[in-house]
Amino acid sequence: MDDRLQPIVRMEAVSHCFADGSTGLSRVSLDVAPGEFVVLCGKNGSGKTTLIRHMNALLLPTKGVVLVAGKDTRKHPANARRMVGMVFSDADAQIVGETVADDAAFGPENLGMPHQEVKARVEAALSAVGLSHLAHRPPHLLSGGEKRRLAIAGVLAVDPGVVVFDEPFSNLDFPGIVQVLEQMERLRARGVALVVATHELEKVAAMADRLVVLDQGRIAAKGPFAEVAVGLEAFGVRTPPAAGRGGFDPWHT
Amino acid sequence: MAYLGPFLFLEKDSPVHAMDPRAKAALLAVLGACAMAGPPRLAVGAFGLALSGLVASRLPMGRTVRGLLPLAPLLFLVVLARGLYGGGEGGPAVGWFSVAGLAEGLLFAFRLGTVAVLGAVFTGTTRPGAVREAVRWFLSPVPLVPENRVAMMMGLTVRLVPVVLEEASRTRAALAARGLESRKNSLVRVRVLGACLVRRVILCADRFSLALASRGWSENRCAASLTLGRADVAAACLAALAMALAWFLPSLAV
Repeated sequence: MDDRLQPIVRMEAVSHCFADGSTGLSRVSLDVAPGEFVVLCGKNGSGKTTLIRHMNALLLPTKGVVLVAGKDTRKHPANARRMVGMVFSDADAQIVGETVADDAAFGPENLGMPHQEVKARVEAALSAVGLSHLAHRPPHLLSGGEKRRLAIAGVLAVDPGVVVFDEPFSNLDFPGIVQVLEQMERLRARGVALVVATHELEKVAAMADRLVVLDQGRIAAKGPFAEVAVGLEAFGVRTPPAAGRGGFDPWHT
Repeated sequence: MAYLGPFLFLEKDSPVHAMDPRAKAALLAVLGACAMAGPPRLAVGAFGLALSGLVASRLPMGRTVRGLLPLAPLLFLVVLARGLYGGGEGGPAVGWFSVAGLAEGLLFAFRLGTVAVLGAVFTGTTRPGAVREAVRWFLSPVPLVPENRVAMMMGLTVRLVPVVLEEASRTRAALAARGLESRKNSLVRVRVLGACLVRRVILCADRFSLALASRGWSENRCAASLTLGRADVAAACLAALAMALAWFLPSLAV
């Protein structure tokens, strides 16, 4: 059977209520296939971050079920965290190591891997994002783009099947944005599924397979990117300039 | 950008960098104890060893000295305070300051300065991860102490320091832009800045805990390998022995 037919993440009628009684998600169903590039968009408070945090078992559904590689996140949160790597919007908050190499090693060390294996993975991950030469630098001395790349390296070192990005372009200058896009392309080439929550659709339009529009915790629209990325203003999202005019170019945004 | 001066690790190819962190920590403890509590000749000895370590480590001397300079006002105050309130009543005096008190203050400032140099050599030559592993190793035989958690908390504290400094700098700038500095009552300024900073630091800590969870933090992490070589053991033992002899021999002779 073709692996692409089996979703690596499956969300079935997921609802989430916060402690204050407000609803974060309401009966959301979504599949992510291996190697797929899914973009989530919606205005602030539409539920994007809540949704992606369910994929990594940071949040558990109040109703419904989230399956990662066929396993319920409620019963197997460790599996979800190994399979789904998460890159936060604020890379500073994600970096927990005292040096670049320490941070990249954090995930593999948590998995209890042998020291040599951890070292090999760290070298490979830092090399993949072009940070090998900064391995012993304290993370707070990195630029914004380098921090984002380090966050990606930390995720890569665990070798997940899915990488989830929460607002990956926020607070980045143009070189930083280009670096993140290049990393996304590389991840895609390696067959890693990508889920990207962003307002800036024009930046990912050329790579995206599918677009999911969230509104008030519900899926308002989903489908092939070019078809759905039209008339998004109704949902509080700017329609990408090239939508409906054929083709997107992420490098000219 | 937060600056931590001489206490930041700096990659160099030196024998001090190559030493096992546990041997360095043991040396730091012995030399620090000698510098702070030993007789003056021992403090001088510890200072000499600290300087030798600094030279051998190939850490930039200028950066280390410049980084330690902010300590100078504190040491100066220590000398003045001891001169004012220290011993030597009835003895020679310079104005309000007793000579004996000033001498006492100078010695204490020298001891503190020695410990600062020792700390700079230790942290400048030891990767924070290695310090964490050393702490984990030292704590592992202690019953009821979760060494993994303690080591992780220590690592996170080191990681949080520049983040908190950065937050403090941003908060101060934001409040200054809104005219806080025109408030004459400094207590109000401190209260507003403190309240904002505490809130932001708590938010930071919350984001860190989310990051730890999302990256699968577990108590059963694999430990990094530390290699205690013969040279490490010999260096630590020799220094400890020398200090012990210097401490005890003169009193035995008397």
